[in-house]
Amino acid sequence: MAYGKTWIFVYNLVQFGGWSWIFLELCLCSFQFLEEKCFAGGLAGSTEALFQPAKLRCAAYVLVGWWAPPPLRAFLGFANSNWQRFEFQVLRSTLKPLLVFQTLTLLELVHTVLGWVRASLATTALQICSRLFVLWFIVASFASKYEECINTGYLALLSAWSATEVVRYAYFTVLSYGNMASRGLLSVHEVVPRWLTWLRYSLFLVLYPIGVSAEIWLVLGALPWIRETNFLRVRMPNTFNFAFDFSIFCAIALLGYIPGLPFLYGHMLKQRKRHLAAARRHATITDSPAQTTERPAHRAKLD
Amino acid sequence: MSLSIQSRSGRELLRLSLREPGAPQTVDDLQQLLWLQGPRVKPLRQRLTLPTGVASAPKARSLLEAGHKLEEYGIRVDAGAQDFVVHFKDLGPQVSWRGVFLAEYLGPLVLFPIVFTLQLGGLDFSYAWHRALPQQRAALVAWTLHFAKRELETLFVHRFSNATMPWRNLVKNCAYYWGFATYVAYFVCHPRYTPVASHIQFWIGVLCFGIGELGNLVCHWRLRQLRPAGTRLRQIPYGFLFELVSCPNYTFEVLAWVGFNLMTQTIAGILFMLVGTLQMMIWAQAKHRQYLKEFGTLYPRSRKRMFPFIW
Repeated sequence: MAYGKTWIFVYNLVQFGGWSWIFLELCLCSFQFLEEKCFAGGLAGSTEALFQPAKLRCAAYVLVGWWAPPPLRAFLGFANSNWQRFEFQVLRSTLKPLLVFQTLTLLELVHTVLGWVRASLATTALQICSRLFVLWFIVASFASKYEECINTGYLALLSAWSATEVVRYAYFTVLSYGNMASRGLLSVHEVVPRWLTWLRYSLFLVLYPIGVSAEIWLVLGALPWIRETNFLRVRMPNTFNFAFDFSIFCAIALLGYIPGLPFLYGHMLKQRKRHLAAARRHATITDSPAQTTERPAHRAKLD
Repeated sequence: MSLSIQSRSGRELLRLSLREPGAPQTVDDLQQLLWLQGPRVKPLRQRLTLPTGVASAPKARSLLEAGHKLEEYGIRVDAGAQDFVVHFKDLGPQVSWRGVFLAEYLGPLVLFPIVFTLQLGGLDFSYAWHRALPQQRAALVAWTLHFAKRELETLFVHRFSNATMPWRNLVKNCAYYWGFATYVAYFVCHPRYTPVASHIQFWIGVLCFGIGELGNLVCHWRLRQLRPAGTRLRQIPYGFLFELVSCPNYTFEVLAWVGFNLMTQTIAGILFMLVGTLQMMIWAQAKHRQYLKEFGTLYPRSRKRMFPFIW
């Protein structure tokens, strides 16, 4: 079990590093774009004037460019060639690390099966598989058709996923470090600072809908190309009497989002309520001077 | 001294005195009282448990089962001036096992011929039959016989205890069987279906299927003999393949599906077989454990779960 704890810590640390890299790459690309296109190279030298309204407007413009759904983006004028080049640059520098670190999350299923991490196998599998499906079978497979279909949601997907994962793995890194160092004697709220708990259980409120809508846009955008290129298509007749049409599979997967989305969102809302309430309870207990020596009787589970 | 029935969140639903003449003696009494005076939920929907961490219960499990006395769970009048707490949960609308079985098997029984007709003959069954390859006809007959047998067994052979399950299971099970029936039938009855190349393979498949179905029927018949009508008696089965495994009915079931797949050779059918086998392995594991727990050293040690000599 000691090996397990150490391994979990190392895994979380590696994932935290990987996702930070991806997120920083995205931010640096965006920064560079802002500097070149909006400030004509004048941003780096003039930090004292960083908060000018015009510059803030430009930053907001980039953020809208990350997150706005495709129809709105076309309306707002993100279809210009400068922006397209920027998006392609982001894709080129983030796709490989994104594939590597997202595929690594398959290990979390192994951790859950081995009992090293306490989580529901079904929920974890659903989350990981839906991400890997979009990433490998849509984004990676149609990256060469970037302008035709992947630009509909790649930035939103990347920013939502990487921001969520940076915070999530920061949380788990701290948690698993505390767990490892204290040999499981400390409760989660004794290990993780309250602000990190708050971030980990609040960011999804915004980022999850963004990420999921990006996934849906990507699949919808790729559908015509899947049909046109006969991607992953097997037709009868063959000796194994098997046929497969990836576009139909995608359509069924999209239908699966209808019950899946409220289910997962509700699941996370419930978790948020539970964990934040526990963190608040812990904070009030340890803050009141009369009870500082007492540990809370029911320690929250380290999960 | 009183007995407090609470919801999981600690809200009191009913408080009973244990000293009064009408005090409940058995779990069934308690369930009746809850039905009449408490939250008005029928006994079958009730799930009663002792709160965790109560050491007074001699039974390891904290679930209060119908047919037992309250004393067995440590709820007795002479246990000092103690107050007892029992947790109550409404399991929701229930359906009988027999009903679920009938509904879930009806789907495949009806859907396979429908898909057969639609795929090969539009709306004309006799034309579809005429157009179909002999292997497709054999598959239709085998599949229909299999599920007709299951329906008849549900009606006339299986002896169910009175247990029920939540109605959501009905939806889940039906989705599984009806979905897979359509999926398998789509490929087996496809106009561009390729029959198996070797006749030997086909006939071995038919043989396996036949042996599987007959063996399965024999197992079910023997299990019926073990439980006299109207009882909940459980005994150790002997004889036949029961000497080797705890659940030979599943062994034969798998054999029948191996036969079906040898006859038809579709990925969909193999998938259906694999998922079904996995589920049966889970059930066999549970059944095997239950036998060992209930009969202890009386239960033959050498018996495997489902696959003779292997597992």
